[in-house]
Amino acid sequence: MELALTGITHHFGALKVLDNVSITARDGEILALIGPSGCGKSTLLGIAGGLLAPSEGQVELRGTRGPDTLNEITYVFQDFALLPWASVRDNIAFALKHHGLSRQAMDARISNALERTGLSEFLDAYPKQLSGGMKQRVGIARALAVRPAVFLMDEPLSALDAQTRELLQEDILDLWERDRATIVYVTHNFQEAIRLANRVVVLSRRPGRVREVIEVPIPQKDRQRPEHQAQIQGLAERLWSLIRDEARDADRELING
Amino acid sequence: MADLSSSASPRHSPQTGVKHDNATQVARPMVFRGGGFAPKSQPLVTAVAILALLAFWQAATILWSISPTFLPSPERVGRSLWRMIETGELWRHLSASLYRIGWGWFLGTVFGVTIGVMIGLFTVARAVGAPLVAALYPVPKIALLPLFILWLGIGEGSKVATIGLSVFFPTVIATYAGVDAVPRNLIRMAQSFNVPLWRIVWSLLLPGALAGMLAGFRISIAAALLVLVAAEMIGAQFGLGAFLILTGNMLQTDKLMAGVVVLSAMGLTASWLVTLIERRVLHWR
Repeated sequence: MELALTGITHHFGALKVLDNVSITARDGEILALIGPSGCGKSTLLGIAGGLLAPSEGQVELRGTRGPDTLNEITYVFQDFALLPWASVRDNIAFALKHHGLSRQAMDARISNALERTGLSEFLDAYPKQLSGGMKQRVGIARALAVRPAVFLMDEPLSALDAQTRELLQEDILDLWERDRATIVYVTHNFQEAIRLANRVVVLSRRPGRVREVIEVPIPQKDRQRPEHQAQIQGLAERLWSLIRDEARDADRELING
Repeated sequence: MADLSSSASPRHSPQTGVKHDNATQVARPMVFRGGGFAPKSQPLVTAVAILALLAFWQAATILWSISPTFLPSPERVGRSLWRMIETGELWRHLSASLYRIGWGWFLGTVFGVTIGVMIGLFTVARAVGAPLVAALYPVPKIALLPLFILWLGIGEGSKVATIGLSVFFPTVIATYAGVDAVPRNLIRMAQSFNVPLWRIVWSLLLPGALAGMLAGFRISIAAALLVLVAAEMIGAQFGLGAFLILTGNMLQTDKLMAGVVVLSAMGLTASWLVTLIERRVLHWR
């Protein structure tokens, strides 16, 4: 499915955080949103999934949903958002219970999601027992279990260390290669954006506007190959040059409230 | 290290003093300066200390031949406690007290948790409830006993109501603070999966607030005990408070102290039960 945001403007009180942003995540693509901190990336993602009502503009979902989709747009959160008192199984069940599935159907969804994220043996573990990477895998499994058409990933790897991040990038790509779901991926890490995304939307400093949309024309599975490194490097430099000055300005800004 | 090796022979340096030279030449072992700030519980030490205290008390009453009316020895207190158990006198008072505190605590907790969740959830409930609770919480609830006697009569109702009220306020505060402490991102997560409101309350807010609520139970139990004794002292035939007043008036100090021991045991038991519940339901922490 396609997710279209049109003319999104958003204010927090007197503060304008987004200014007339229009972007469309095409069916089956990974669209990265990148920009300096405080540019409204996460706000935009909140609006995209209906957790925030924009001051202006609209969000539209286009296309037909899959037959077993319980929830068309689903988030993966930066801080995992797991229930600490619930086991891995119950955390996933929490997203399914109110859909009136049969016991078998629910168990099948849970074990399928766990299998795809390599969590099968952690079924009864509690979040405090899991590493950061495993916690986020539970977050991803929970999203997979409702078979969404669009994933909204809000800096899903930012809370993880560099090695775990690398592993999870591969996992996310593997999952995506199989289903080709639409993913909107917010990050502040431009290397991550270039590794994962089909297109990278560069947002400006607050109030966030679309500065540029950069296509990454190499298939994701080939991006580690040596012959593409020069091109990847060029794209990285281009992105960094777009963000650099604004990142510096954003860094020097005082934080209000 | 670089400094040390570059100044090959600081002994001959005219700028620096002799003392300093010696200091830089010597290889000193690192002095340990961490540690501490980690007190542990030591059951054996605790037991020994308590026994020593009792022994000292017992010895003091004998050595200085203190009048048993003024300060009965632990042994006398123990004997009269045993006698009270045997004759059923203790149970007569204890059962009356348990009835009152049981109902009072139960009702206060049910209403307290309900109102606390409402204040934690709804703006209107918070706008109305929070200032009211803040205004009434500091009032010693025993001050309201005459009012409740007027309204509900001198019987059990007025005592249960006063205890209930003393439980209600700390429970409300602990509950809504607990609900407030549930991370908002968990609620957004639930909303993003279209989880219905009642399930967000039941499966997310209540378990999330449980730790705060249980901490509140400890406070509310202590408050209930206080009001129980005070209310029974004011107007009751049976009950530990009435028993304390009676024995005090008759200078039966050993029985009075036995009553205090029973009260302490009640408090400890309740607190132990809360700990037991905490271990069971908060194992995920």
